[in-house]
Amino acid sequence: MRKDVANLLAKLGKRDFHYQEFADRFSDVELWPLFETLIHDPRILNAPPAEDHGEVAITANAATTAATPAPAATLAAIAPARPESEASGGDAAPASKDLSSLFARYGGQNTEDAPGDVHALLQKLAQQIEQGKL
Amino acid sequence: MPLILCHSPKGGAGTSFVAAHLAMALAEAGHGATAIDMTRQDSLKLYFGLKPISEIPDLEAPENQGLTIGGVSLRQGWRATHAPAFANALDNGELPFSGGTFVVADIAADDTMLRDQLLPHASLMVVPVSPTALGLAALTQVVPGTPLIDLDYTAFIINRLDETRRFARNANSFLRELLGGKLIGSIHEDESVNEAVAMAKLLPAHAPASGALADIRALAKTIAQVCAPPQTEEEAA
Ligand SMILES: Nc1ncnc2c1ncn2[C@@H]1O[C@H](COP(=O)(O)OP(=O)(O)OP(=O)(O)O)[C@@H](O)[C@H]1O
Ligand SMILES: [Mg+2]
Repeated sequence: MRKDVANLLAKLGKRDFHYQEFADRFSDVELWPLFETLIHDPRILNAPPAEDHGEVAITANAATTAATPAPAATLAAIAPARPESEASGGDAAPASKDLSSLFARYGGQNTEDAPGDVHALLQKLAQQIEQGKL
Repeated sequence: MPLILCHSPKGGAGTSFVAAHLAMALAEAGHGATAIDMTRQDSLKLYFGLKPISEIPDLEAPENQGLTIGGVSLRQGWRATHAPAFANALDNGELPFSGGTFVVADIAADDTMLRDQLLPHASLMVVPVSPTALGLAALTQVVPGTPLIDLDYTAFIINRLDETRRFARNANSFLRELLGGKLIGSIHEDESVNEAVAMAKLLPAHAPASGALADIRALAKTIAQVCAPPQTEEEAA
């Protein structure tokens, strides 16, 4: 439970609420034309991500932390250690992933609507444009 | 002495808010922290409970003239970082920040020159993004010459997220897909951020249950672990 929610419920003296955080499903995201523009912008993505697109995890600039005894940790290494309750609002992004599997992660039951990858997302955008929905 | 740059391609994204509270949260977690306001606007201090009229010590003022608030040593660095000597020192490989602490720099959106000067010396660049159409559009301008998703040492944070707003919600999901692990989290829209400044109080004192405060504390933990040797944390267990 998010800390502010817990605090609010405690203040109100309500202890019998059911609490659930709803993870966004990417398939539920409305496809704004701006999103399509950004995906096509070479300043955002140089080329459509290939299957072998590398890990998208952040690291610190090792050159600047060379004086420190341990190698810079990567998010991939630390994220699993983070207890669920500490993640505020479930907003912390997953540790690391492959761009091609990004969209598949949200697949679930609704795979028909869930874009499998960036290509599928683009296809879906194109369809909506064709149908005059965008 | 990890240097963390806070810079956004879009003004008003909350860069100063993030810089101030990142430094405070690092200090709270037991790390040494210095926050340097490198902007002419001089508003970083307002997040430390200071009033517009208060002056904070210059970056080059002697240590005994320092000012520590919320565990953070606060410095005004606009003058010093825009003096020719600063660029020369950086060119010579000298980084005029010393000590075993985190140094968090607040850099103005349009000051890409200073950002580019400091980038090679930084452990991490933290980029606050507002979940608005203009905030997303500005992502095309983060570091010219490198596609956004190929940027190294760069962590994005969505700031002022209000999930009751349709576009903000969609933008949040979109950025999570696009940026993956480079989006390290979001900070919720929280009026107590504004109120604390209006009260000239620290946010943790004014609104200890603030949602934005809880969010930035979680993010600071992530950033500390990315930048610092793990053994400085007590939570080895
Ligand atoms: N999470 C938040 N919730 C509510 N208000 C916020 C939040 N973060 C920042 N603000 C407010 O947004 C405004 C802009 O914040 P801030 O000055 O920190 O941004 P900035 O990116 O440094 O701006 P500038 O480009 O002018 O330097 C301020 O009024 C601040 O109080
Ligand atoms: Mg600012």
